[in-house]
Formats: sequence, structure tokens, C-alpha cells
Amino acid sequence: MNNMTLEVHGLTKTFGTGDAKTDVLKGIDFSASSGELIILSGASGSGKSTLLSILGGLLSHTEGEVKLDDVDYLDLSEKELTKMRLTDIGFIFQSSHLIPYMDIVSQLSFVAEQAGLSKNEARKRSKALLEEIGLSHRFNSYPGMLSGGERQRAAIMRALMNKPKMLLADEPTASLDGARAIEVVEMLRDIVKDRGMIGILITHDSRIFEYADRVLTLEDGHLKAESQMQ
Amino acid sequence: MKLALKELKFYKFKYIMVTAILFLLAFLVLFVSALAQGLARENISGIDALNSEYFVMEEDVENDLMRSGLSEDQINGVQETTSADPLQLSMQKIESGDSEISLLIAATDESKEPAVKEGRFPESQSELLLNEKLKAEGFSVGDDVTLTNEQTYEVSGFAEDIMFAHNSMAFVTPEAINDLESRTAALIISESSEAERQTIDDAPGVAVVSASELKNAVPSYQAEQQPLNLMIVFLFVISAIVLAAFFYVITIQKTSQFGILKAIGTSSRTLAVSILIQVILITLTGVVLSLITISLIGMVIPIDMPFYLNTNLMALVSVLFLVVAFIGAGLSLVRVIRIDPLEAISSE
Ligand SMILES: Nc1ncnc2c1ncn2[C@@H]1O[C@H](COP(=O)(O)OP(=O)(O)OP(=O)(O)O)[C@@H](O)[C@H]1O
Ligand SMILES: [Mg+2]
Repeated sequence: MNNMTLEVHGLTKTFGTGDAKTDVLKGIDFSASSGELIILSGASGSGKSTLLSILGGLLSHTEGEVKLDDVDYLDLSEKELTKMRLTDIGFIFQSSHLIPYMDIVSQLSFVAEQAGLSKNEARKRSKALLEEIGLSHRFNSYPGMLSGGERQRAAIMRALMNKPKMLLADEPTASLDGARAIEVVEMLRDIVKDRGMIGILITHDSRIFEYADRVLTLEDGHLKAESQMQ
Repeated sequence: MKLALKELKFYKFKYIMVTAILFLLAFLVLFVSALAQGLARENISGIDALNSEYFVMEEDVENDLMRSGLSEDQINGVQETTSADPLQLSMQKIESGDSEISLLIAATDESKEPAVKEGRFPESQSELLLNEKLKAEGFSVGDDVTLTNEQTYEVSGFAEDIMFAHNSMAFVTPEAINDLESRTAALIISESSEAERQTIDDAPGVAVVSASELKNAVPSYQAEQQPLNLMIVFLFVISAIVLAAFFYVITIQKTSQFGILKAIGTSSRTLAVSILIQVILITLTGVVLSLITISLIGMVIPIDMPFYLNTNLMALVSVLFLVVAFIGAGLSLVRVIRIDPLEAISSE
């Protein structure tokens, strides 16, 4: 597995102009490498989602640069960023955000087909991933028929379909109870380790901190006190 | 493609409703148009059957064929200038059961005879060709018809669409019409130059009238077509608004889903194609169903009903509906392309 890194330098984000101007990110520097799971924490409104959205190519930045596997991607066109979200970045949201009208297998195979995989290959990969998380009995179910935990696990696997380099998760456990939340985080950690991906996970829940390699805390627009775990 | 079909399948009920409404709108437009065309033909198909672009008739009768009469001198004058055939007319009444039917008897030169649909054109003085709609009154080939001169004529055949101002026409031979109280109402010009027509028009008491002027002078034609055409236009406008609104609302409902799809890397193009496929499928299904229904109605509707379908009309309605649906979808497409995935996700 090749070793790659995510490098963030002097990243800033300012919302609005004039009186309404707010500097949410005032200069973020950090790096992460393959197989590393980083937890991003901080008070509500400290800018965690903002940072993750910029890293995920969903939000424009103000200054600074971000390189994933040596590619500086923040200034790419909307179209190229969309492509990047399809193949290089896996996004997991607070609620699963599955598409209601697709059964679970199609849900996953769809993203692989979008990336150019044949229908057969895509379905094969989709089924393999779903088996891995014990959803083989749910292949033909629609999201509405699954439990919250099952939905979230399916959504994580959907993010993995195109073997992304980086996995970003914004409070993926917020809608789950304690035991389920830990299950999901353990699963995310294993994925990141086994596949040599870079994982960044936002959470408020300090019980989860121990599963990460590092916890970064956002405060007043800067990353504070990189607490080393383990 | 996959996206579009899976969604249609999952939300069957919703899309069946939309298709049904589209079907009803298209059907309504087709039905009113067929009615308008049917009424139009009851007024003017007799003029179309004469198959000429220009006619000569009496001046100062407001182009009203029924009031026009030409003298022997005038006829000769015109025929010296250009090749023209007299059209002789006689208004008659015939009995059908308990009621009387007005029949406009006409005679013209052989070259101007209308196309026969059943039977043949009259060959002897005691034969006549009836308008097909009179079949609904029980007439058939071989029947005897008595006119006001107490003479009996045998029905030699039927022609489709020979009507004038809601009266059925009947054709007899030029010899036969002389027995009736007839007059030469007009001359049918076969071929003429601008100069020839000018010369005729300048002659006292005669006027050159185009086929469309002649049609527009039929009082019932104008009176019926105007409101019907207005209705058709309004139906189209209403359909356009309803369809555009439908497709727009459906797209807006899906904003957050489109946002998610974009967030996980689905291109705007894929989403646009998916919307277009849905719109095409829904519109085509609705329009094809309405075409089938209206054709079935056209087959079973009684012959004397003013109802006429032609393929041009059906094609026009279908194309207009597709265009309208595309405009509706186009509005939504702009919206979809502009969706900010982040906004769509966080708004849930
Ligand atoms: N589009 C925007 N326009 C203006 N201000 C914004 C916008 N998005 C976020 N902000 C502001 O940026 C700050 C950080 O928001 P962000 O959502 O990143 O916080 P967060 O750390 O994720 O909070 P939470 O833990 O509540 O999710 C907030 O003060 C918010 O009001
Ligand atoms: Mg947040």
C-alpha cells in the first residue's frame, strides 16, 4: 500500500463581508498519513464542519492550501471536484443520507458505476462490502426498511465503494446510541487501518476519542493541543 | 438512466398521477381540436372539394356564395379572359323520415368534381352524389331522393366532406341542375395569372375571391372557429403552466436528494439526464395514451358528429406537448445544476 499524506497549510475561511464578516478558520496547519484516524473536536460553532467541508471539496476556502497525495485540489473546477468526491474522497454524514428509492446493493453499486465500473463488477464489489458488515441478508432492502445503525453502516460502505484515499465523517455517530456508536467507530478505525486510508472524524463524544490516533481540537479558529493518544 | 428508472418505479403512484394528468390535458386539447376541425369541415369542406385557389363571383355580396349570382354575359366575359368553370347551385329540401334536410345541390364541370368515396359520380340526369354524413340519416347507394321539382333522383354514391355552412351538398350533372331552380353562383378558376385576375376583377359586377376569403365569409365558420381556437390556445397555455409547475415542484422536492448525490460525486450531467429521461418517459406515455384514446373515439364516433382527426393535428399536439414539458423540465434543470450540495445536506 503506497504511503500518502494529507497536508494542510495556512488554511483560512472567512464567511461574509463587512460587518457580517466572520473568520471561522484562522490558519489551520496539520498533516495526516495513510492508516491514520484523526478525531476533530471542539465546541459547537468552532468550525469543525466548515473545515471538513473544505477538505471534502464541498466548500470554498479563503486562503491556504490542501494537498492530498501531493495533489493540491482546492482550486479545481466544480466539475473536477465532483469527480474527486466520487473517486478520492469518501464522505459520511450525520444521518446516513441514503437514496430512498434504491435498494442497498444498487445504492452502493451506483457510485462505482458512476466512476466507470461495469454493472457486474460494481454489484460484486457492493455485495462483498455489504457482506463484510453483515448486511448480506439485506441486499434487496430499501433504506426505509433498515435500522438506523444498518443505514449508517451501509452509508459508510457506500463511501468506500470507489476505494477513496480519504474518509471524512461529520458526526457519524450522533444519531446512534452509545453501543451502536462505538460499533461504528470501531468499524471506521478498522477500515482506515486495513485499507491504508486517511480518516478524519468529527465528534463531540469523548468516549470515542480513544479509538483515534490523534485528537485535534478546534478553538478560536486554530487547532489546539494535539493530544497524542495511546 | 438507472437513477431515473429506479425513482419512477419507487414512486409509482406519484408518477402515474402526473402521467394521468398529462394524458387528460393532451386528450382535452386533441378532442377540442378535433371538434374544431370537424366543425370547420362542415362549413367549408365543399369549397376545399372544388380544389381551386380562386373563384369569380358577384361583386358587393360580401363574398357570400349563397347570395352570389352571375349573368350569362359576365360568365362569358370571364371565360374569354381565363379558363374557368361555372359552379351552379340550388338550395333544396329533402325528406328524411319525419324531418326535412336542407341540401345544397351543385353542378360543375367534370374536372372539378369532388372525389367519390363510395359508389360513383352521377352519369345520368336522374342521379346524384350525396355527402357521406347523410348515411347517418339512413341513405345508401341506390336509394331514391325526391327534390322540390317533384323529380326523383337515385343516389349513385357518396363523397366524403362536401359541406357548406353546415349544409350537406349533393352533386348532379350540369344537365340535371338545369331542371332545378338553379343559378350560377360562381366560376371556378383553374389556372390564372395575376394580370388575368386583375382584368376580371375590374369588370363591372364581378369580383375575384380567393378560397380563404370565400371560407372566411361563411358566417358560421368564423363564429365557431374563433372561440374554439381561443379555447385551444388557452388549453395549451394552461397545460404548459401545469406541466412546468409539476416538473418544477417534483424537482424542488428532490433538492436534498440531488444535493446528496452531488456530494457523493454524481455529476450535474448525470442528474440532468435523469430528469430529462423521466420527463420524456412521462410525456411520451401521456401523449401516446391520449393519441390512442382519441383515435379509438374517432373510430366509434357517429359519422354525423362534427369530429375530425388528421395526422398533422395529432403530430402538432404531440410535439407541442413535448416542447412544453421540456421547457418545464428546463426550468428545473437550471435549479438542479445550481444546487449546493452542502446546503442540501445541512438543511435536512
Ligand atoms: N454559510 C455560512 N455563512 C456564514 N456563517 C457560517 C456559514 N456556515 C457556517 N457559518 C458559521 O461558521 C461557524 C462554524 O460553523 P460550523 O458548522 O463549522 O461549526 P461546527 O464546529 O461544525 O459546529 P457543530 O458542532 O454545532 O456542528 C459558525 O459560527 C457558523 O455560524
Ligand atoms: Mg458541525
